[in-house]
Amino acid sequence: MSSALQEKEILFKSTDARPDRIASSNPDDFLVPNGREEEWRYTPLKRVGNLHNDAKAEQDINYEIVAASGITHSILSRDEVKTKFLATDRISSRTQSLWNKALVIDIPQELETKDLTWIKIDIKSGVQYGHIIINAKAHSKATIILEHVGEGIAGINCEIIADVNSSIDFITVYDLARKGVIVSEHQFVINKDANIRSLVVQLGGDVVRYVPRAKFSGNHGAVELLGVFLATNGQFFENRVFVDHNMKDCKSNVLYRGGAQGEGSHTVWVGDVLIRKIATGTNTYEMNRNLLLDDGARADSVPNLEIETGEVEKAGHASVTGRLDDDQLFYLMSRGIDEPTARQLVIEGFFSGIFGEFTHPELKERLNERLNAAIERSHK
Amino acid sequence: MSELVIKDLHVTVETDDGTKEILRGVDLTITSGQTHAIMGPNGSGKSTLAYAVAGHPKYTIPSGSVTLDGADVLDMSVDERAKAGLFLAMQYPVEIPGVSVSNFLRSSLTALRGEAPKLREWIKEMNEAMKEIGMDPTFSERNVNEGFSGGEKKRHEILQLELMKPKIAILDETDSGLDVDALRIVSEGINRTVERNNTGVLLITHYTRILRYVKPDKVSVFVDGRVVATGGQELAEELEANGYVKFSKATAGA
Repeated sequence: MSSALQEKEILFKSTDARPDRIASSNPDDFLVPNGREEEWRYTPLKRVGNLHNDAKAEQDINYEIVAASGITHSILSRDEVKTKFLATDRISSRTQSLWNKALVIDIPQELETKDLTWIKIDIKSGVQYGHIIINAKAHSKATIILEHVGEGIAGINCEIIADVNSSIDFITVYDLARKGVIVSEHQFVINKDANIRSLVVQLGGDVVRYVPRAKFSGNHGAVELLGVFLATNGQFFENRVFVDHNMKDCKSNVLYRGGAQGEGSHTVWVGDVLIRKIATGTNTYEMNRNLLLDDGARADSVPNLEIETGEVEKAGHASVTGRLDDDQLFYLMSRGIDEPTARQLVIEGFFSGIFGEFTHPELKERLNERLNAAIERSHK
Repeated sequence: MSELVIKDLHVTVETDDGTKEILRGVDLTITSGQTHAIMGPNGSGKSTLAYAVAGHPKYTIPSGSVTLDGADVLDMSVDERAKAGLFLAMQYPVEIPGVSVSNFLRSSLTALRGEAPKLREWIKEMNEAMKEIGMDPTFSERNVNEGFSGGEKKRHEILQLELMKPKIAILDETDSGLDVDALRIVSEGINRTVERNNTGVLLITHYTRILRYVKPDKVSVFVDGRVVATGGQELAEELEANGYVKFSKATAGA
């Protein structure tokens, strides 16, 4: 193994980092954040159980897997895992250095399955760190669902590597108990002609911080990063998206819809798209729509688009934050519908369609059940 | 037999320049099976009357009363007014993204009737009503008013009127923005409702055109936040010939 210094030099040059940021697997390369850094300005660091500072692992993550036929999975120790994961902030690098057992899922070459693969993680009381690697080999096609529940504190990172011409649907659900905390960095690597459609759903937990980062390892790749979040009763949900257009003729579509209700409820969406000089023919769009359901809730939404080449096919970004519309409620109520039902209809309507592309009936039903339960909780 | 009685109704709104009085003592009675046309120039307060009676939160009612068969309407929430038998067809119906027409209508009728309509009967009922108003059945899967043309929005309002069978309906400029074919279809829907359900209609309009298709039993002229004259169909004809000038002058010094 190379010395720490050499490794760091390599990492600093790595294209994994934004030009102004570092990527490293060594936590000491990142200062302990105090909350004033751009990266951490919204996150309530007092509520993350010291994940950012010195929280030790109290147990290992327990991964429960129900895999589609043909998809293999194994739990491996650090020595057994080869990973190129480079963390981009203090918590994800601590997570990277502290996990003991990783879950590795392999989707073999040319395997195409419509059956779902479920990974369920019950985050037990106390602190734990985990790592997941999903390898989709060439020409494969599969749907993976990663569900998080429980009441503990966790840092869990994930690598999703889509090889040539593979097609992966990847759904991440955070539906923790009220005091649960999770901080995750997910790195998507999309090879030539490959396609990842990802959806994140944040409904339960005290603090959920999610950092999805996508980059390409071949031309003509495509990635969709979709998200749905609903923070109620003082919950904090943060999404920091980064799409690195580092190859030619690739496509990205980032679409997040969020709601917030209740005193202290706070959602954050930061969407960074970088189109590097080499990435001609890029087609990208990012959008965040937020619905504030009352005066006590807050939504921050920051879209950023950096374009270093003049030859893009399409590049757009947008952010809209609105309040629950009195006129919509009035219209429904003037037809006899009581106020709670009218609110529910408008909120469900706002979120409808975001699961639209994920057509598997069981998946759709499970997602709708969780979302409707969260909407119902918001009335209380 | 139902009766909506509006007595000395005053309505204000908050504006950047402070409180503004829009309705200045309205007296009106709407009776089952009768059509009462309210005509007036832009800005006279006709729409405010409609929205205030339906209970829009934007309006304040410092004095006056509205009763439906003796029950105090102003004391009811918006949905309670609908359940009591009031209906408002809006001039600018609101778009509700992600909520289908079918889901919306079924939620409404479930609330109004106190139980969910049986699915098979409901689809038949909805499809027949849509056919009568000239709406394609595929409309039921579209989102409420989203991407509807002006004419489609108005037909959708009248569709609701026919399904909900209110005791009293206030139609706020339902005729505006319609071409003559759409105007005829919408008017037929209004006439059917009066005939079949004995609904009392308060027909708010700016133009006399709709009165060729919907024959009013009474016509009132509305200027500057109150009723200034009431008569029969002949009053509408006079307005068509001479406009509102005479009535506006009559109140100018008031």
